[in-house]
Amino acid sequence: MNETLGEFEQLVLFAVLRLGDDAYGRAIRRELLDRAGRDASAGAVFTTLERLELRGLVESDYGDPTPERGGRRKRFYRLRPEGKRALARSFDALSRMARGLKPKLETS
Amino acid sequence: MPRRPPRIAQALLRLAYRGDAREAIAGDLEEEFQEVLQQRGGFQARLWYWRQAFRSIVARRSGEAPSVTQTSRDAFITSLSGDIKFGTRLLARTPGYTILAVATIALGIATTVAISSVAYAVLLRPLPYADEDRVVMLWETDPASGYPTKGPSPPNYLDWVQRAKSFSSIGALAPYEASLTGAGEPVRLTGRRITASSFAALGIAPALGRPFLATDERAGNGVAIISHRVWTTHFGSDPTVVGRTIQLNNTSRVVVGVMGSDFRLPGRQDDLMVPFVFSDGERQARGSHFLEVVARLAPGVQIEQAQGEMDAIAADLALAYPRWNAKEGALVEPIRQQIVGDVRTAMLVITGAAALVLLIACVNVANLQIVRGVGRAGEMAVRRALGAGRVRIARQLLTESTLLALAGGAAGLLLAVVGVEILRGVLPPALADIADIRVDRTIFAIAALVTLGTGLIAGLAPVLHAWQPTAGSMSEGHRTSSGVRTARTRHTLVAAEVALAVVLLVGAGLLLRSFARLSSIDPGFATSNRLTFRVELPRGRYGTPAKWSPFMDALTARLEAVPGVIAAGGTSWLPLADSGGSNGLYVEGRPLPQPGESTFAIYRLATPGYFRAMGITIVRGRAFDSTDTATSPRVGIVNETLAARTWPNEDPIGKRVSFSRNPTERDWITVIGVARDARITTLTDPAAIAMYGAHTQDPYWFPPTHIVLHTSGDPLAIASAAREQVRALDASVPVADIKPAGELVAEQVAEPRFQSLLITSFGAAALALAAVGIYGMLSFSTAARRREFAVRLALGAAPREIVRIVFSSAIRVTTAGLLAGGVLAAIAARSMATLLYDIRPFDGVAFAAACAGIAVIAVAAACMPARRAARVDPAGALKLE
Repeated sequence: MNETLGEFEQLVLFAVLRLGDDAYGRAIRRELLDRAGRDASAGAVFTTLERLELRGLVESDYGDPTPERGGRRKRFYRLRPEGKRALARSFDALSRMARGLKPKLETS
Repeated sequence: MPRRPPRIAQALLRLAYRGDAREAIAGDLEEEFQEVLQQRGGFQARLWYWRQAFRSIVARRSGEAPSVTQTSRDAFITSLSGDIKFGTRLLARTPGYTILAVATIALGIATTVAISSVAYAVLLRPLPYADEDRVVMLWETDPASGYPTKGPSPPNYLDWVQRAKSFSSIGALAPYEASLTGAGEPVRLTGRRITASSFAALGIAPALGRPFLATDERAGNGVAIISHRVWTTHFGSDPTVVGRTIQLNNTSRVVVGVMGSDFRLPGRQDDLMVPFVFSDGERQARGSHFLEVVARLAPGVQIEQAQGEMDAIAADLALAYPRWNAKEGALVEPIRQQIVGDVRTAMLVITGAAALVLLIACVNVANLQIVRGVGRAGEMAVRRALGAGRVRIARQLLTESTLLALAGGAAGLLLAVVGVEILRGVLPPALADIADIRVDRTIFAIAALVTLGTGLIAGLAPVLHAWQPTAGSMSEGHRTSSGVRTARTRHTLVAAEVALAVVLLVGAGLLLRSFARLSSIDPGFATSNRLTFRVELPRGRYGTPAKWSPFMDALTARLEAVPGVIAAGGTSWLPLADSGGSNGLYVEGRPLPQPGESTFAIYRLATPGYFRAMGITIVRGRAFDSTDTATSPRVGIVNETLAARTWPNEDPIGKRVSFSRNPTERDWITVIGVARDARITTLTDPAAIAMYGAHTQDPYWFPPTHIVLHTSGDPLAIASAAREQVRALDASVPVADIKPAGELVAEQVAEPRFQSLLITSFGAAALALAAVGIYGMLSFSTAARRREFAVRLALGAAPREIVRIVFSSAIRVTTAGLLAGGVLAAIAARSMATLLYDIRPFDGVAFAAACAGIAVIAVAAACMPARRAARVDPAGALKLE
């Protein structure tokens, strides 16, 4: 199965991977903002994760309701093996394509 | 500081997401909201939440993958917002089309809303009376006299009060005027004498103080109620005015009440009310018809029952007082009828015309939409192929036309607010007085309804069109049978538009011609270079001819000495201003007339200079002069109509007449002259019987307080000099109603002028819209037939031939529209008959002019498309295929 990933999907998957047990919407958005400079809306992140879950790349389950969320539960995500493979493949492809080109990007 | 995110934003978010998604996203946002709240405060946090919610919703809308949890409601909202987005994008891509359509709708909606705000104020807005539908007016009727209704006389009114059981309360009113002195400049106020019972009958009460009580009538003259206007302008809105003593006609009255600002009685506006105390003379005067009688129906009594009882009472009174009441009936009429009666037809016609303009606008937009729809046949075919049902396609099209209507409605409402301001400026006084015209919540609701209706109507034709089985087949849509069918729909719509325009133009033509006839009536007196005004002579010092005639003689002499004044005169009442009342006339040597057969003559006193100053020619005999004094034989001047009616084959000069049934020697008046007929009561009534008396000789009639000056230049330039002369003679005499005599006529034609102005502008709008419609139709059909024209040209047809083809299709559609419009216009014209003066509803000129106007516009609209069609380059056009 050849899963191709969009750029934003890759960023989201990396964020989930990095956050480990703490990967829920709010934290993922902060990660995207801090590391990638991407100010993504909650809706966009959710929609993306939902789509990735449909494709079997991530899975999710619920935490406990907390008062600061207005009594709503957190939804935690983590990568399934298929997700890890897809992300690795995309990243490898990208790095191979980019190898040695960094200096050329820095002109002008 | 708010601890919770903005509710509305949350609700919107809930609409966009469901179930798990909603919980996760709303939870995330709320969590972060609390952080932002800590760091940046409530306002910033709310702003932040709104932005995030909005972005999340947009992300959902543009999300490529459908959610597993999506429900059918989601689907509906998503697709509706999709429709809106798609429609908006489509409209934005064709700005010319969009602007044309929106402007068309705005024009239609603005007219309708502006006019309906007037119509609503005049016809429908509740009157300021409690249980308005229980309030009636009572009239005497005398069908034989030519006056359908007349004011009841005091004795008849008193008998009604005694006998009638159908009313819980009956009250009488009569006009009243008084000079208010002691509060700055002396000022003349108009108002009513009003019985205490009238307050209960009308269901009114002062905003401040108390109404009149029966004891006020017994006690006599001591009290008064003032209007809100006088309260603000003359008493500085001082609440302590109640209980204060004021001077009216140099008698003291205590103010007991101030009416509210919305208070209105039928007829003119009132600034003053005093208790109605009948004098002994009035109680006896069964033939003096000057009251207005209001009544409130008793609980459970229907107006028909009340009418029945009044018929019986009138029959009794006719038997009891045959001399006065032999032919008198009684009429019970809802008060609204009295107030809106005269303007009702006019308002309905005008409102109907405005609705027609809107309808034409709708037709135009429908047509434009269909034309566009043909261009979108491919799109529709794709939609169907992908499984879009009829309802789905209809919704898309209706969404688009509703978008157009909403934009048009918003622009139209703005225009309407401006329009109402303009209307208020040109409104005839009769309407302006009773109508409190404004764009309020009701009008706003009407506008919203009209807007949605417009969207539906304008969208309907394209929908029906798109539903046709052949429309939107994927192949060759517009050149096969569906092309023929759209052409037919569009031609029918344009013909309908032409027909509606014909109706408006015929209406405008009729009113314009009627107005022209009215304006060209010779009133029988001069209106140019004439200044008129009124002096208010206090009755105490100027109550008899011996007292007023020296004043009038001195005043006219002073005025004639003013540079720029050619002649000056005075009379009891100016022509066209007020009838002033008439008297039964008895001729010397002839038997007394039978009851109800009397000749009534409008009677006025005049100074010697009046006829010269007013430009009324003395055709026989002489005018009054200084030899006609209080002691010389009484003399009078009759008008031509009176002379011809009374002495058909004799010379009236030297004949004697009297207003008394049993004249003494002093009651006989010798005719010394015949004056040319002048329009005295109304401009349209040529046959008023009138007689003038010398102002030095009749102590029982109204003094000649209306002054007219013949000036050599602009009459208003003399106004301040005239005022100066009055003041120099007696500083306590107020001057009122200064205006050029031309305004006497202008006031008479104000309403017809207003009507013809409005309907003509509607007609112009309709004509413009029809031109757009015809142009659009031809542009499209010539573009669609480019290939055909190219073939014809290539086969040797002359360009003239092509032009002929285009014009003939324009002529076919226009002729159909003219025929249908002619029939509709004939129906509409009949309902306008009462608005017309000296013009038949089926006036050939108006119909011909309307048709000619349309024909010219149709030809003009066809020119451009025809020229374009004739210039088709055969080679280019054929290669294109």
